[in-house]
Amino acid sequence: MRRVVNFLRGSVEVEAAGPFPERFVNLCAQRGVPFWGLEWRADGAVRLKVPRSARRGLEELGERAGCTLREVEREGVPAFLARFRRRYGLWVGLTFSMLAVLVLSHFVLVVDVQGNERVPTAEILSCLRRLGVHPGTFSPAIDIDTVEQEVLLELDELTWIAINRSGVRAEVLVRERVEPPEIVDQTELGDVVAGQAGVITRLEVWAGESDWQVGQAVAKGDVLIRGDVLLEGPPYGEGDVGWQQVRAQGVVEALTWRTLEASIPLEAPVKVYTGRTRTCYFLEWMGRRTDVWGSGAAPSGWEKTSQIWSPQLPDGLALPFAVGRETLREYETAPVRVDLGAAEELLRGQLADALAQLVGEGSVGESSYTAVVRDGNLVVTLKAACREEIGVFVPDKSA
Amino acid sequence: MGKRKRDLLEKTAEAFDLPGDLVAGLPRVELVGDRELRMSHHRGILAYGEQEIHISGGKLILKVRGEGLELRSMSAGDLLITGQIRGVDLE
Repeated sequence: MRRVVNFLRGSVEVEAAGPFPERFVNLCAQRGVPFWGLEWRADGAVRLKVPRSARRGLEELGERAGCTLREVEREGVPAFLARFRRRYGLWVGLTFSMLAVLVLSHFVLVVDVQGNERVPTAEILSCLRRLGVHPGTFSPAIDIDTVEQEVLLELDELTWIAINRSGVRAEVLVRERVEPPEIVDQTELGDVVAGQAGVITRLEVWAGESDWQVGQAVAKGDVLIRGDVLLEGPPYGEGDVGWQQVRAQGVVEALTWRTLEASIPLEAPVKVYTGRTRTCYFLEWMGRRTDVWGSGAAPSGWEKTSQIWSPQLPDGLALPFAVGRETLREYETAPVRVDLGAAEELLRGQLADALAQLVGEGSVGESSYTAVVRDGNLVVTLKAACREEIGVFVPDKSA
Repeated sequence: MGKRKRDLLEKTAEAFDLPGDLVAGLPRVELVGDRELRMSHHRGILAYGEQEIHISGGKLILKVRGEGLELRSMSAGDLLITGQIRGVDLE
């Protein structure tokens, strides 16, 4: 512990040489000068270490003891720091660093959005930017309560938002609106009709009555489950009680055949570069852009590509400083015949996606594609056998 | 303090069975094992070395012999010597 204290406050090793160096030691003890590391040299001199603060008073003691003092070495933190006394560049850099830490810590450098799934982060950031929260904003000037209220008013999909300032980072936590479950209105009466022609493969009636059976073919629009229920009379009674209208419900799955078609022109306009290019360099500092050389405005007929270099901290935090280069290339459009194979592949994919969306939770069985060139277009037709739910509830407008 | 007065105080302390170091300011030497020696009411260092340290005690001189001797701390009245102490002589 004593060594640590001596290291922190600094020490000086001095050598006292003279006819009676022990007098110097005794004087130090009498004056209360703490010393340690006493070493008697072969030449009669004595070396000892004293605290840095006691160094000045030693000259007088040395004179009184008739000794000449020589400073041998300085040790400790003060001596270490004294080495940098004339390194002005270091002090300037240190000053700038301190100022940067003190000043920049009051600005938002990163806006981090968390908790969103459906609402795009870019939309939330854009809204926050409009309300004055973006990299470069002076943190104490942000009225968090007002901004939170404004964001909730602008973005209907959000139900809750919290903006937390954590150093240079503005953490934006959001909760999205939960869609309410679909509530079947039981008071709404009606029938279940076929939305698609096909052969019934499964029939479950939950409410209402059905005249159909599995294996029968139905046409589009046929009433599959009626919303009228016959209330039969008691046994041996004279007749039925009457009819009761209900909301028809049930599951009607059928084997269907679907035909989908998609087309694409055989010629498409593509860009042909003329060879004229322009380059623009710019700096971005806290979200504000400054063009350094050239202009980044792209007139009509020019294509712009940007490259941005932004330094990142080891934890992935991007600093609000970026250097960018924009390259503008002039182009003209010219018609080019499309590759038939690639175009057919593209259309096949689109048709498969469209069919999957139409079938929903059902399944697709056998399918076949045909491709023809017609009227300057490539037309691809998909024919598929599907197993899907075809029942569609149609409310009874007369009820 | 004069020599006569010091002698008188020393004899008084002896006659009345009082501690001489308190009454007459006589040097007091305390040896803790063979690694530590404390001395009060010393008059200063006369010679210093790793094997021998001479300390003035007024009328007497204390010679501490040993190996690796070190003056650990010293003030106007007290001092502490550490190291392997082999012997203490009085002159």
